[in-house]
Amino acid sequence: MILLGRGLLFVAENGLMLYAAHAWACALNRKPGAVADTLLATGVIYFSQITFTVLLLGIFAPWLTLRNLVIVNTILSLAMAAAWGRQRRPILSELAGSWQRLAPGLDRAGKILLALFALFAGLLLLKVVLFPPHVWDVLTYHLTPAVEWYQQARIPAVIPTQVDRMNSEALGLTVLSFWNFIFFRDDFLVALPQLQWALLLVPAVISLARRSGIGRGLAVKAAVAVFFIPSILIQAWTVKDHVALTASFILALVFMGNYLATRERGQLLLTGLSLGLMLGYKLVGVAYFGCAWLVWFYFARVNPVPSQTAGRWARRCMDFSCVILPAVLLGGYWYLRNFILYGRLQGSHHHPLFEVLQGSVWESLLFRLGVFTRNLVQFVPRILDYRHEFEANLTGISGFGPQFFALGLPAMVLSLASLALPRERRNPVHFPVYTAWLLLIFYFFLYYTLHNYRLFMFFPALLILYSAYWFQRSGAGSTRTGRAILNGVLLAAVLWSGLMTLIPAGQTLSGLRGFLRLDRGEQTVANFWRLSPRATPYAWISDYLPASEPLAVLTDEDSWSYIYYDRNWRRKLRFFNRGRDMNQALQRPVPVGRLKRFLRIQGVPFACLCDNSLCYAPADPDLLKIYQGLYYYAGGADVRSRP
Amino acid sequence: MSEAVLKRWLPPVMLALATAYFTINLFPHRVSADRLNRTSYVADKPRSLARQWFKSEVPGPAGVLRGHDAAGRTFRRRLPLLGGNRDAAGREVIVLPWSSSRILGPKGAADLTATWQDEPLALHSDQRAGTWWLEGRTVCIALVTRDFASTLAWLVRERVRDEEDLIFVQRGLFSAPVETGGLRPGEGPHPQFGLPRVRWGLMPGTRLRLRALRPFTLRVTLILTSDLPGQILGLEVNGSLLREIPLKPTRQFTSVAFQCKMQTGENTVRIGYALRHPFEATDPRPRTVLYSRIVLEEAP
Repeated sequence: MILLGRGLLFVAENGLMLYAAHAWACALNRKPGAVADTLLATGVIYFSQITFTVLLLGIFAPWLTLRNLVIVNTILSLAMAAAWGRQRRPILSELAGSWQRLAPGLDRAGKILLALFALFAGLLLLKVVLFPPHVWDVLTYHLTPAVEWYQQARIPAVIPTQVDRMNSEALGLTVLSFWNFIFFRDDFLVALPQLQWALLLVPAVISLARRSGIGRGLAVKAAVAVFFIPSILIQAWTVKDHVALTASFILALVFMGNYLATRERGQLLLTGLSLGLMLGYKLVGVAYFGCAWLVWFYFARVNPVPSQTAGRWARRCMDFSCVILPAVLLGGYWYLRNFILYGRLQGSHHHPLFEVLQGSVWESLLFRLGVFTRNLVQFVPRILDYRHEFEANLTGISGFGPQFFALGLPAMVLSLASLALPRERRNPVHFPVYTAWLLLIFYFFLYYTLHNYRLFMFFPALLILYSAYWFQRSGAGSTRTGRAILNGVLLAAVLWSGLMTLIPAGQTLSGLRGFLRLDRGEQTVANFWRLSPRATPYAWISDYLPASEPLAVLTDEDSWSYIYYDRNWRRKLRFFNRGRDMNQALQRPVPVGRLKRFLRIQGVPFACLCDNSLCYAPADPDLLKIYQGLYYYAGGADVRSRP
Repeated sequence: MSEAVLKRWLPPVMLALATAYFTINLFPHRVSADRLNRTSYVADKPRSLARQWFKSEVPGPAGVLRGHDAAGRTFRRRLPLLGGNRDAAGREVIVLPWSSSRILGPKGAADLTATWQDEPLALHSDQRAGTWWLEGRTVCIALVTRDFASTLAWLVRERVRDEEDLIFVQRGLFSAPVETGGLRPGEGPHPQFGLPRVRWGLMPGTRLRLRALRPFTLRVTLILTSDLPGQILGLEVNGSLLREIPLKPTRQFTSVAFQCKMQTGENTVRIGYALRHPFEATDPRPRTVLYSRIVLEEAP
């Protein structure tokens, strides 16, 4: 009953916010029939409102409660609805009109693709609801801060843990996860924001495609192909941030492109909101920002609007502030926090973006050249996705899928060729793809890891779209053979990608079924990822240690912590930091004396001495072994029982 | 750019590239000995289940996994078993647990980390069936032989609780995990007899050993059945008789509950039986009563 009431509140509050966001979006997109643009603007405004209010209430004081959030958001939404409600157009009739316009141009393959999209979107939603956050990065730093925010009702600048990333990364997506948690006090919806962003990618691609002159049918097919990029499908139901980063970036490109075409300042505001959200999702968002603006300025310069030369500088300043102010307001907090606390934008964590130059200039240049070469050599093996599983960290593969291999590779050649033709390269239709190229090249110089392709999702998305553009422009789609080949390739690629990513890596159908048969309280990440039930105590803690029992956990640079929490985030963790001198020294004993003192001071009798999948076994008679890696210290309980 | 050329060549190029992608990815996965010895297992991780569908590596019934190695031999792997470290041809086989975060090289069992040494991993050879039986209570195992290096790495995901966990329930945290004795392994469910998962209590008695964290009152609830007329449960706590409970002969499961005081440290609860089942007269450890649940919890 309580869950039902909270569910109704969630639906009502989010419904009101979406209504208000849609009203404002309609005011910013006055052209009726531009459904995709209106949907995108609605999504961006909705996410911006959540981000703004959570940060506003959490940063300054312990006001981050459900009641306060509902009050503030209701007031804001009502104000927005009052201001722009009259300009709102009925969404359902717009969607119906859009479908009527689309249906005649959609062949049977297009309808099958749309049906597959609906099916897999539903499956992804089901996976979000049924399964817990399960990616190892998420266990390390994505969600633990949200638990701390919830327990403290504020956003502390620093969480006392040795996991630096918790205190240095931009946690914009954690804000959205927090929002989806606090209504239900249950973590079953924390992965929803990434799925929402993935779904927003579809109208974003359609909007870009339509602006490029692509027909409706082909635009929808390209959008579905982008949605089915394996890396997007894998990550859409995780709490990682790469889909959100990519989608917010592409949305920013959409709005920038809209501005190039219409010169409406509202589009700049939406650009600013998208970029602000993007900056809040990852520190590397700064690079996206820079690349997009460089290319945008190029196109704005080669395609000037003659009528707007008067008052040019004042107008430019105004335009600039329309973008920068919302961007800083939404995404600036994390950078400001890092700068104030650590004196540098990347915080205490190593980040290649802010440490491009290491050593002398020549050394750095040589190093970056080596990184670039390695990335270049690895490009083809990666995009083949060969000999590796599709898992969320995309180890050793690109996760671009067959749709990129078939459509994106020709698009790469064509986009490079277009650069050689002066008349062609001035065409704003190339704006997204040139931005994608610039960003990819930047990334190639920036760093090389086995997992770096999870950051490159923008590239297949924009290149697939670009290939659709050439398909349309060349008239290849006008022949029956051309259409049949495209449909066949797209259907095969979509089915392949969907099936390959259906079951999460490391799971089996029977395992998933077994998980769902557990009691609801036991459906925790610890029971989802039972690494080895005898080697680690995570499942045992989840099943037997009451959530009201605080727990001291060993932390190192990348230690997991979310695996200890119950679904309702009631368990309180005390982080016992090993100390940096002990980093990478797994064989060394845990400092037992310091640990006991820590437990005594904290008043916590239970300590889990595991670092990810490795557990330590201290030989101390005061520490009673409860389970592998889990110890009971009576001294912690004694202090707790004192008045 | 000539659009006419594109119109003609773009679709075939797309088709060719797509065909290349699918062909390469559907090609059988083979791992050479050199590659295995030279590189980490990162390159040889298992594919997702969806890929395994294409390779017929799907979990079979009762937790059995089927698959084949690089040499085309068929494996049948089941958890858990115990046994030696030689394959059907008498070749030594090294079994390494595999973890995504810490990959172990094929250097021998001595490389296992402390975490994994608890894992009883061994390989059985069943020469009659020509199959291998792999044992271990672990979620993922890499298997390497010295003679013909091959890697089988897969993930087994199941709710890995001990057999007794299906019957045995410990609610709350008052003790280290309770050790049990005098119980047969779990079996069932037997729908033909209307039975859920059950465990037989064995003569002379069933023991529960607790390591209590503090003094408390333990409440034990036994859901059991016995069709032997005159069956009596004798309950002993730390060596002293608590009470005797006569059981009515029935095929229905009934609940028997009792409470007892626990001291900090070692405690033993023993459930003794008066009669054993007649059809097990020759069994050296004869069966007595049938449990469907044993619940331990702290009394309020």
